[in-house]
Amino acid sequence: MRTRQYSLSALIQLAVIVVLGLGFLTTCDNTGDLEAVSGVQGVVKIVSSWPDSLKGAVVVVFDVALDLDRLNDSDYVVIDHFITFSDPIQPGLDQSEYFIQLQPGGYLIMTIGLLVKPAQLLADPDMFQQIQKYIVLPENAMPRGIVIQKGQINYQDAWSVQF
Amino acid sequence: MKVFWRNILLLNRLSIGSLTLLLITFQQLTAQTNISIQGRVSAAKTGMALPGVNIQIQHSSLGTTSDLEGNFQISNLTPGNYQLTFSMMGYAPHTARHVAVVAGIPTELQIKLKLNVLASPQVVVTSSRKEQDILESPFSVSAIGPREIQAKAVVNMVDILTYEPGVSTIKGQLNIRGTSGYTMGAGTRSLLMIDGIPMLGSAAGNVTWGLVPSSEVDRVEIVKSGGSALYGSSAMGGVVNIITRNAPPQPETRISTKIGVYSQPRIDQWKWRDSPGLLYDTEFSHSRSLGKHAAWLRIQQRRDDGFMELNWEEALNISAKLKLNFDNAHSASIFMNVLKDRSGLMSVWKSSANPFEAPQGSEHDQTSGIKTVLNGHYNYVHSPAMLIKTKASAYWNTWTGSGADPDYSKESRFYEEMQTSKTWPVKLTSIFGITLQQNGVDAQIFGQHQSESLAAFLSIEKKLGQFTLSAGDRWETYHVDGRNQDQVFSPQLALNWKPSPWLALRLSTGQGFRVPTVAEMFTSARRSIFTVKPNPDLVSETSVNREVGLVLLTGQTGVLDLLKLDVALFHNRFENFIEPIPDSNAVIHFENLADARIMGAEIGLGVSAFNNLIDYKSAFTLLDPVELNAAGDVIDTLSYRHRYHWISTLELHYWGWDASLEYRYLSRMESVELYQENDMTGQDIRVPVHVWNAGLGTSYGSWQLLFRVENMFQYYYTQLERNIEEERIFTLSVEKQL
Repeated sequence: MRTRQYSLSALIQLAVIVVLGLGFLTTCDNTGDLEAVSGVQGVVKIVSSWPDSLKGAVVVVFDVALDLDRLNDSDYVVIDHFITFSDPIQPGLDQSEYFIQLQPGGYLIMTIGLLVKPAQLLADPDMFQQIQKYIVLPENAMPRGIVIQKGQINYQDAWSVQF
Repeated sequence: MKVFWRNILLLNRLSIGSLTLLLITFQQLTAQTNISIQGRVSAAKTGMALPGVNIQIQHSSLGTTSDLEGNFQISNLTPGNYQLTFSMMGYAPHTARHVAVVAGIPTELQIKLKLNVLASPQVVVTSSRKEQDILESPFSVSAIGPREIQAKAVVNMVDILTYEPGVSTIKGQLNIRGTSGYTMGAGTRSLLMIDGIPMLGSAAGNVTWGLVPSSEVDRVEIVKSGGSALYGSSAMGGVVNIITRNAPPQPETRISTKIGVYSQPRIDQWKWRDSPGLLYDTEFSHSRSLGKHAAWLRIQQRRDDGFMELNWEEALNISAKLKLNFDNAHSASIFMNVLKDRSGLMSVWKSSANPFEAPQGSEHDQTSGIKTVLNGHYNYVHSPAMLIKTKASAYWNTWTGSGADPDYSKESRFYEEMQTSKTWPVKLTSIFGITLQQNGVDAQIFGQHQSESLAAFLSIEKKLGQFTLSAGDRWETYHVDGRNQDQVFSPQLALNWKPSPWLALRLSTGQGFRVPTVAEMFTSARRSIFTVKPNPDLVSETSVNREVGLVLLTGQTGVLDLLKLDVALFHNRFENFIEPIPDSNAVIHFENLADARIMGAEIGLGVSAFNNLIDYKSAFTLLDPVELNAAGDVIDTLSYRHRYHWISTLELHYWGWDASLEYRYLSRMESVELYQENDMTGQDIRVPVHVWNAGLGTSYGSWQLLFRVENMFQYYYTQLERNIEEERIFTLSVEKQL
């Protein structure tokens, strides 16, 4: 009986050490939880009717090194300056809210029309590499330069776009 | 199809044959000389009569419960020596050995039970389809007793299950040791049962947690190894069996209310409503005996604002259970549950800057519907060695979705089962049964479909000294829309070695299978920017599972009241594993992967000490969930699985106060399907889960109070992409027993 108690006691101590040890080791993974994000937010108003060729529109973000004068130049690799884009604006909508999460820094943002379905463009890396083939630039809305600060939202409202 | 209906006819003939057998043997039994054991059960400390004690003759199917005065009688015995077990929640089980029964003189027993308020039950029924000491179970089993359930006063059973070793949920989808992952609610590898009857939705195989009457649950058993040999499709990754309580003999009326207040997000940017969200849950329950019979009725009304914009819910739930005790040989129960609910519907957040808000245009998305469950059990003790159980269940679910994408669904499920358990003289137990299930669905996103399954199972358990060898097999045939979808054998073999009363080692292997659900085969819907398309060519997935484990369970030793240590190593290899996979056009199909493997280890410790002053439970689970190619090489990590899982619960019981502290850790998900982390923007960052809960409760006369705070440090995380999880909530539960 005494031997059983000693062996039990040793087993308990071992089990406690193993379970707690494993637990504490893994929970050292202390990367923190989700935090306030930084980015750009606003409303895009589509003031013209939607051309039949457009399958949607997005607000797209480029780095500040993008040469706007060379957008239509076939030799110019636009995708090298691409950062991200918003959730798609469905054809037919006259306005849509958008939010794009961004790390602090300077960016160029613009609204573009898409000649293919947004999900298709997102999922196909080859198509994505040649994004300039599948976009239409608005007639009136010029790209905007923005600065994003940590944990802050940059509001870009009243953005009227005509395709 | 003809073959299938021939099987159905055969099943009907078998049922009729069995009923005839029941009637004949009933007449034979009642003609026997009345040889019985009778007596009284009382509390050792106070001498007060104990009503509702479960009394069972070991290695037989005969048993009864004590009446209001603690008296009991088991009749229709044959002369011989018997061993009886007396068990009741809150008291240590008692075994009366060598009880001699002779003709003409009733054997009289006076039993005194000692107090023992251990949290976890030590007898389980799910892992072998019969009552079994948890040490003799051939598979890993966790059991949650009423004390743990009451200590949390949960509205949703998920809140309890996620603090069990190796169990997690993603958006309510049950995951045992990572087998299910997340499949958008369309298909699960973990079977949920209520009183041994499958409760998965007929179209998607999803779980409706609102149908579980949480305050009337006696215990929950979680079997973590493949259960296909006993329970068929969807049980390949494990089984959760929720066992509802029987009404106690003495009348009992309870009124309880739970009021909760959600915290405002601690990050200013995320605040989305002016006043905090509230939760109201009111329950009324009454139970009483009706002659030899007993019943309970529970009415629950719930209004929950939710922690995010479309997380609100309104529900009215009426459930009842009638237990019919005809005599020692015949008993039956009827369980009924009707849930009328309305809730918001949110598939993704508005944005990472507004994670508690619904996306533009979907602010009015909601569903409303009625779900009805009717379960029936009939048990017939043919002889001390033979028990026949029949189960029947009907389930109807009608709901409509309104908002941006209007939707509707009408589902039905009918389930019948007959099981015969026979104990043979050579320490051999056999369990044989047949089940029949018919599902129907008419839904906008699935279309109109019918499926049927017919199964027969056999399980044999043989005791060889310290060893218990069990072998089982289940044959099952599935039809979808009249087409033979699959016909499968699922064998299982297990060995349990119990070298001492407190130590057992187990070894098991078996095959499992899962037939694709109607939702996986026929869903045609849009989800955010993704589209889900049907894949009617899906084939069943199969698995080979292996487990080796050790359980140590001791009672009173020194300052310890209980010690339970469970260690398991497991290895599950899947073929044709079904997972939702987005293609290059962002269209999601459910596809059969070539192969997958989930292996890992689990160590769990439960300690109760200092005369039940302290309960401590901790468990660590390690998973390695990978996708394999045809050659068996690892090609990817399976999505929506956490590699490490650690839970810890500490409870203190002192001077009538109960304090608890719970912690849950899940490592960062290594792989997801829809949105990958974007380092350039910081989008869709995934973090580990660290959640702390605390509670303080007490009883004062007939009042019970419980104060709890969940996610007390307001830790924010996602599991499914773009879906924030649980905000902190403070709840106060008050219960008055009339």
